[in-house]
Amino acid sequence: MFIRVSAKRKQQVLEQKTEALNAHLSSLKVASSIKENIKIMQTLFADDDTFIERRVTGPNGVRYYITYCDGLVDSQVINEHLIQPLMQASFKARRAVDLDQLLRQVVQIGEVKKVKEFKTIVESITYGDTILFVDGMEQAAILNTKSFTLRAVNEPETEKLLSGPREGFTEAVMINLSMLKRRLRTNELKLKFKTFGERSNTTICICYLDGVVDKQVLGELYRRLEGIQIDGILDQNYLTELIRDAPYSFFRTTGYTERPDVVASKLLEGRIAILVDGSPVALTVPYLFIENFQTPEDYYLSFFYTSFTRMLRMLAFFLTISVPAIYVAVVAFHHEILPYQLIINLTAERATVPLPASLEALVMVLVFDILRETGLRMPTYGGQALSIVGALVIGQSAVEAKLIAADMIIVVGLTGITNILVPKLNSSIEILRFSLLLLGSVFGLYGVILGYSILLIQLLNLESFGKPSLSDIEHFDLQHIKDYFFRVSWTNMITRPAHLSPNRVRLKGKGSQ
Amino acid sequence: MKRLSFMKLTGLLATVAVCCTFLTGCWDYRGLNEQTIVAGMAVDVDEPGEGFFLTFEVVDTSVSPKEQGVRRKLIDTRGPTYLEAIRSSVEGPYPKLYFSNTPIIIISEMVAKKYGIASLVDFILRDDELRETVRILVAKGMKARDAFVPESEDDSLLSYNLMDAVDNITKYAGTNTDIRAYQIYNEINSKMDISFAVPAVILDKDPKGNPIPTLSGGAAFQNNEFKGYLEPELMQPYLIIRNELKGGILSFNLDNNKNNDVVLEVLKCRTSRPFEYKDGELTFFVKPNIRLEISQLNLDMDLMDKKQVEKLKEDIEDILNTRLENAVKTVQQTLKADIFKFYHSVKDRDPVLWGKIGKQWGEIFPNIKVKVETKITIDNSGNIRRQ
Repeated sequence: MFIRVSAKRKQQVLEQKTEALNAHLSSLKVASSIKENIKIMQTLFADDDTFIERRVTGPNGVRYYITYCDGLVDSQVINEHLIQPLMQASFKARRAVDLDQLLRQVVQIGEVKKVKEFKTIVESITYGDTILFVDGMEQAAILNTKSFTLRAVNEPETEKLLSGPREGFTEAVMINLSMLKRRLRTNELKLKFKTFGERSNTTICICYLDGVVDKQVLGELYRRLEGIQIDGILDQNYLTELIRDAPYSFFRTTGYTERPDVVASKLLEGRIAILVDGSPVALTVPYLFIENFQTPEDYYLSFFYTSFTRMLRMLAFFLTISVPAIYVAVVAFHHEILPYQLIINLTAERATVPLPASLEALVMVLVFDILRETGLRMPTYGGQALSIVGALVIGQSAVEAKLIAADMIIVVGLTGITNILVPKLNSSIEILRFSLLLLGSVFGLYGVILGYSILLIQLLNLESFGKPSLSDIEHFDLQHIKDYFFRVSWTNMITRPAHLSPNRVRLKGKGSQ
Repeated sequence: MKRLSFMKLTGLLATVAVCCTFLTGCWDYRGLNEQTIVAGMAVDVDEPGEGFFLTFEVVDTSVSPKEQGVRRKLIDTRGPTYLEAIRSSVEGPYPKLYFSNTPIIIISEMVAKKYGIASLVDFILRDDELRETVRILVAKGMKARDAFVPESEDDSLLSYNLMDAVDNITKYAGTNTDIRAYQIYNEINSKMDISFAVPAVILDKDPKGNPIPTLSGGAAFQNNEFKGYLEPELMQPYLIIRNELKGGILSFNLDNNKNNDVVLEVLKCRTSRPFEYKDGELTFFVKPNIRLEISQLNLDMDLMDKKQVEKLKEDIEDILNTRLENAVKTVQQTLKADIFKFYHSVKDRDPVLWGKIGKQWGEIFPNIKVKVETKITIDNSGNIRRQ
């Protein structure tokens, strides 16, 4: 009984100590006595069994204290290039051991850094670095011994291409940066690190091209990032929602991609990319509305073909948000629009089903969404097949059982298929489709037109880091729309997108043809 | 672009909402299954001799068109006025009648004589469902209901067949007129002593001997008054003189003895009608200018020979002149109604004269002289020959 109580009290004391330490962590400095440093480290990493300590004494009796986290380091490097040299190095006088000298002459590790703050030490040791304390030194050395398994570089599942580069970002920011650097081999490519998250200490990297970027946008980005205080950032979306212009707009004002080639092209157009360690998705700003319809393939295949497909995507966006709404409006309010062959068929079909058109559309759109979500969340690839089978079977049987009109299946099918063409607008499409459907069900085409108007106002009013998200209609210029409804040939792609960069001309010579 | 303030945004939304009210049509929620689609309406005089007896050809939606094709059925109602007769149908065991897809209204001769056409046109234009473009036909020698009675071979709706017939005959045959309710209204509403013709429909026999409603000639009205029928062969002259021929074919037999038929397709027809008023006598010079294309020709002719072509043109012009002059004479003698719209030319070109003689137009029309001077152009008169 007594022992248990004492253990509990010990635990309490320890917790209090740790809390106090954490609170003071930012002001805690490396002490000159190695014993004290050992004590601090042990308190900081109490109850962390991956925390490894190693005490080494050199030939002259100099005491070293080496710590690292198991699983994140390459122990061969530590053994051969740190501990072994330390044990063999001989200095003349014990007191004369200098950390600089030690790092210069003894330690055989590439990247080393001297620190005084324990805060930095904690951030480094949890990222695979090894910390070396030397007795009598008020500084410690951070040695890069990182080694952890990462996912291989693969083609991103969500952004597959028929033709073009197949590399995709991984979860490690440095590997991602290497992919980016290989594409933009210039000193103008600036990469600034920042750390966010009180507890996650996530590294993010802000990338831009110095001669191309709009400094105002860059300043605005830094201003927005400055204010962020959050416990952890696990994916770029944490940042996205914290820095976006209109937090409650259903259109995005920041872009995302998993492809280094896309990031490179965005940087060349004067945009800024943010890479977040631990997330394979890069964030790009400013984000124009038209980027929702652009795919990297637009630039890798013939511009005739890709212009056509881009217009298809725009049509698909229009269809996927408005087909159910217009169908319900016509069937319930504006029969006069229908030619007689169609109205006869539709009437006969509708006469046999129990629900009114608006309710039926609402139910079917919901059912389709459920099936789609099921397909996405199914653990295996079988999910896709299952959801298609589900849709077919449910649709077919519902029509045969006269629960749902056949034309509603066509409407919902068209809605679902066109939805897939514009994946970047997924979140807004859901909201728009339901709002338009409700407006169409209550007010007919009047409601649909009203919905479009509100949508247009919202779009025209949308900004991304001070740049109008929709085209700037005040100053119309053919070069502005060269990459909108169609992608013109590279020979005509003379300037960068309007407003994105003060350095406008990108094509300075066309070459001979 | 500057971000909109809340006030501006609210104002903008209000403006949009108000504008949309005026820019979108009327809207009342009515499911498709809550209505019976009327394809055609037949108007007869009710048996006791007062009020209307209406017959609607409607789509029978109780059977699926997928399995059995489109089924039709007839609904009969009666009432003292059009609207009352239509409304009395709501008691029936079917959803409310729906008229926006009704292209055809057939009235019987009795209705035409007793009530005229004006009250029907007025009703059509005032009703919110019936379209202004509805075609009004007159049933010749039968009740209007009879036009809907025959079972069509492929179960198609007779009204829609008649609609297609009206459209196609005006476009490709040029032997009947396509006049819509709003056009009749415009004619009647011009506050003049006007006349016009609407297509007449008879019960003909199809090749198998089954009765089938067919367009045949026209029914002439003077203002609201039914004047009589136009024979089918009068319809083409009627259209040419009124400058309303849109297309179709002209056929001639050059010598009555020989097998010497010429068939030509009308590409364009413009008719001008200058007139002369001398010593209290009005003479009209009807000058149709027709561009034709040869469709069928006797092979004896050599079209490379200019003289022969000229001869052909002169022959055709002569025949057309006689045809048109005879047509006018027939109308002057039988109907005594100016369905050719000569009054229109007088009123337009010489308002002073119209002021003098306009009031007695009914007496003047049967006596006006008409001279037809046709001018034709023949296009594409080539020959091919294998060497």
